[in-house]
Amino acid sequence: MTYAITVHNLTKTFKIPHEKRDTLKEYFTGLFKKRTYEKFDALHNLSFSIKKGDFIGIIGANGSGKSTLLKILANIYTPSKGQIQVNGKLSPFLELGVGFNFELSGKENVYLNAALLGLSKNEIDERYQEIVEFSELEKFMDMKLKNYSSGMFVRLAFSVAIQVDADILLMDEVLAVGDSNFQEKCFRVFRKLKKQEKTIILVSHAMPNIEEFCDKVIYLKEGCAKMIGLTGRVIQAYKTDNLEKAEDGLEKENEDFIKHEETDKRWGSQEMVIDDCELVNSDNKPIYVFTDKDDQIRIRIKHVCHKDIDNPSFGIKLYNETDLQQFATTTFAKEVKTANYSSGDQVIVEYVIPNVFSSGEYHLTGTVGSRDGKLFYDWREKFITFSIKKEKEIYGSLDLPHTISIS
Amino acid sequence: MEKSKWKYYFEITMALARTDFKLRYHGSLLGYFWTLIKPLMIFGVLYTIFTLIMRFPVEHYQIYLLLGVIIWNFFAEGTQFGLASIFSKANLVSKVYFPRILVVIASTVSASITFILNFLVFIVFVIASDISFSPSMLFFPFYLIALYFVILGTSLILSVLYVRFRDLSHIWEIMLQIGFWFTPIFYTLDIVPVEYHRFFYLNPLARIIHYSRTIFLNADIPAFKYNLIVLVFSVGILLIGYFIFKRLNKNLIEHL
Repeated sequence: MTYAITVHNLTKTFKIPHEKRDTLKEYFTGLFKKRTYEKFDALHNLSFSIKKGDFIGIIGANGSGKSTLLKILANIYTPSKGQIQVNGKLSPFLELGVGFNFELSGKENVYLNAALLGLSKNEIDERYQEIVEFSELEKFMDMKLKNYSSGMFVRLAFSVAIQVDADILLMDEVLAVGDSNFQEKCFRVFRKLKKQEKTIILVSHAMPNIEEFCDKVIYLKEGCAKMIGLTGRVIQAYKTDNLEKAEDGLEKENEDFIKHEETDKRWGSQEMVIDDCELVNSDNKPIYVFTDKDDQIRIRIKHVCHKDIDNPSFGIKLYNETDLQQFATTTFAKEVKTANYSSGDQVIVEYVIPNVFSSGEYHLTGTVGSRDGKLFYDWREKFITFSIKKEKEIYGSLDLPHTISIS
Repeated sequence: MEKSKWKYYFEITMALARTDFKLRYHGSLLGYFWTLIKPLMIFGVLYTIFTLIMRFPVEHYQIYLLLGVIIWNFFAEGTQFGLASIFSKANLVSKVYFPRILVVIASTVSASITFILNFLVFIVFVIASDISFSPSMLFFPFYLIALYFVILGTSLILSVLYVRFRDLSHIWEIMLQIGFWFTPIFYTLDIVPVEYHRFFYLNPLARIIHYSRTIFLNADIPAFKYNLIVLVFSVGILLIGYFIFKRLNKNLIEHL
């Protein structure tokens, strides 16, 4: 069995100094202080091997060490520990448009970039036409790169990059550039490379691409290989992991949202105030991000009475991101009976709304006023923000329960 | 494989040097002429001062001075480009692997292009003067190579240190300023008391300039001993530069 790449017990430690020392002054003033570092293992004890002709995907969350691994494979970083063996010519191609200079024309950049990718001048001369044709930028080759759109930039970069002659290709998020037409073209190139049995290592967040091209996937988590194996299985594990993580993430997001409070307008006599608000889902779990799983949005508003008040009316209004009022209700309109309250009383009002909203941010306004609507005790305009995240596609702003029958 | 690797390195170096050179005068009206104008201006000013005002009694002073100026200019520019070379190509060297020494070499190559243009002007001056050709002039490439080694060695040291200490560009600027005055560029060592000469000759630039003048103006090649000193100095600086570069290069990218 021939391996293209063998990685054995690879560890990469970054030292993050607590103070920076870039200038001599900083260096000298810090000379007698002990320099302290935070050690951080971007990669930890990683071992794997890649067979010749394999198309390998590397997946993992941001900061899991994917790019560090690629940079070590590409010889840009030196490993702190462990060995790496590479058999075959490795492409130095990590990112699109490396070495592109905005002051040079498209043509000059093609020559520079191709030279960096290991093509000799003669080879570039030969392939220049092909590169230009592929990029569909015939008319712009004499234009300076700084006048290119970002789409043109990546198209040109990709067109040069695929010309590289190497047995092992390293690619960091290079798929899916340009419009759908160009993307299809890129994919064709990938299929071709795959047919030519090149060893390809692709780092990507785009699972569909990984699924389509990769035979095997390395799933990195916090610098360790969480799983290495056939694409389907690893992606499944990654997704499951991510769902759990997403829930953790939601919790964090929920926390962030709480800080949003009390930034907006508030008025009223303050005889009765809106003190607190809690959003919970149907399981009674306080959250600020509602997903498909939450069929109800429960809004609990705590009011504190500072004066004796008879039969107030409580209400809410719901706005979407574009400030459009989506929904409003009051106890008065809904004919919910309220009581007489005396100073010091706490009143909790719970509104239960079906989660029919489309994804986005929503702002909640809470009101409490006199029954006749003439006097407001407290009005808190958009004092709570929450969001809806649904995977299900909703056409329109509301997903109303409905039936369709055909006769 | 081995051969194509060297070819690849060569191609990269040339591509980088070309880009460097192209971009340097990019967008300026006079473009490449600046490579000539700059040293000629320095020459013009010094010439005016020292022939009209101070009246240096040196034969062929314009040739004497111009040679000193273009050699010094090569050294100053080369090391300044070299110093910034790695830092200014941060996005490149952290994305693509190729030996980083090539970036430094490329920067000195692009300074060499400037020097060659300057040297052509110098040749014109020589032809226009009443100096006749002497075979000793053919020895000049030796000093040129020595000079290039000094520049490259110095650049290698400066380039890796600069990534760590950004002060270095200012310090180096001052050093060059001082070096300009302590190198016999516009004056002759005759005006310096003899007991200080050995200090002046510690400066390899002083030797290279002095001996170059000897072969151009005195139709004579300096003794073997002196050439050996130049050789040892220049190769020594290159080797020291190379080893310092090798040592500090290892985790350099993480400092960028």
